[in-house]
Amino acid sequence: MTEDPRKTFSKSAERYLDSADHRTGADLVVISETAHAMLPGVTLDIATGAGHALRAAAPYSGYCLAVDLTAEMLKVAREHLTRAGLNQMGYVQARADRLPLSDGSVNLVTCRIACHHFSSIPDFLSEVRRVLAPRGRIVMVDSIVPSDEKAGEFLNRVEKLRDPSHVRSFTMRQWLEFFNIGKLPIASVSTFERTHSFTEWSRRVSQKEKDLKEVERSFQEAPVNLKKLFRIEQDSNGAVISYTDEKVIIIAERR
Amino acid sequence: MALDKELLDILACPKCKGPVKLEEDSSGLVCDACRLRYRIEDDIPIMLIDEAEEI
Repeated sequence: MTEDPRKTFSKSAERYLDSADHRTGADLVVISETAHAMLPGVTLDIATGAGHALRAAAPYSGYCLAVDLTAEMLKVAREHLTRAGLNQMGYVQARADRLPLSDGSVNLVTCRIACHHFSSIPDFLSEVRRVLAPRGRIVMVDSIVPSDEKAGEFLNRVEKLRDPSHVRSFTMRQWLEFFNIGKLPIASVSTFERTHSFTEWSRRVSQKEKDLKEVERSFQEAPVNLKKLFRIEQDSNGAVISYTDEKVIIIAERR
Repeated sequence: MALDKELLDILACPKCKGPVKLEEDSSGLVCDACRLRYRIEDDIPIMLIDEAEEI
C-alpha cells in the first residue's frame, strides 16, 4: 500500500534542500532556459519540494507559485527561496491532480522528480492543461524505468521499499503516451543519467537501519544483468556505494 | 505578511474551480458555490478538499 506523501515528507523535508540529487542537474538548466525563452508570466511549480526548480525559473518569471501537498515542505521551500532573495513568490498546499487555480492562469508549469508519487498521471496532466494559458508550457522531469518489464519492476520495488510513498516510475513509452492522451503536444524530449550515492539516497527518506539494510540487500542480491544495467557499485566488503538511473525531461505546449 | 494580489487573482476552489474570496481577517478562503472554507495557516492557503471545512 502506498503511504500518504504528507507522512513521508513532513519528516524528511529538510533533507531535500541539501540533497545533491535535487539541488543540481542538467534539468535545472533546461528549466531556466525554457523560462528565459518565454514572456515573463506566472510560473507554477507542482510538488515543489525544496523549491529548486522555482529558483531556476524565477529570474525569468513574473510571479512564481510553489504548490506542494506537504506544509513542512512548503516552509522549507519558502525559507530557501527567501534566503536566495526571491520575493515574487506564493506558497499553496494542494494536490497535483486538484489544482486550486483558475483556467488558463499559468504560463509555465514545472514538475521535477515528483510524478512517481502521484496517484494518477492522467488527472495531473489534465489539470496542467486546464491551468495553462494557450502557448503555455510544461517542463516535466522524472525518473524513468527501462522498457524491460523485469528491470522496471525491480527498480520500482526497490524505490517503494526505500520510500513507501513511491507510486510508480514509468517507461519513456508510457510517458509519451500520457502526454499524447493528455493533449499536450511534446516540443522536446531528452534524457540524462543520475548516479545516486547510496548513503545519501537511502537515508533521505528513512533513517531506520532495518529499512536501509533491506534496501541495500535488494541491490546486493540483484541479478547480474540488473547490477550491470543500473551500474550498482559495491565496495570490497559488498556495501553498496551507488547506482545509476535515467531521468526524462519532457517539454510540452498547450495549443 | 498577507497573501499577494497576484496569488489571490488566480486562486480557485480545487473542487469546482470557481472563485474563492478572502475572509476579512485573512484566516481563510471561502468558496460560496461549494460552501467550503479553506484555512490559511502561516500565510499558506491549505487548498485541500479533504481538509476544508463545510460552512
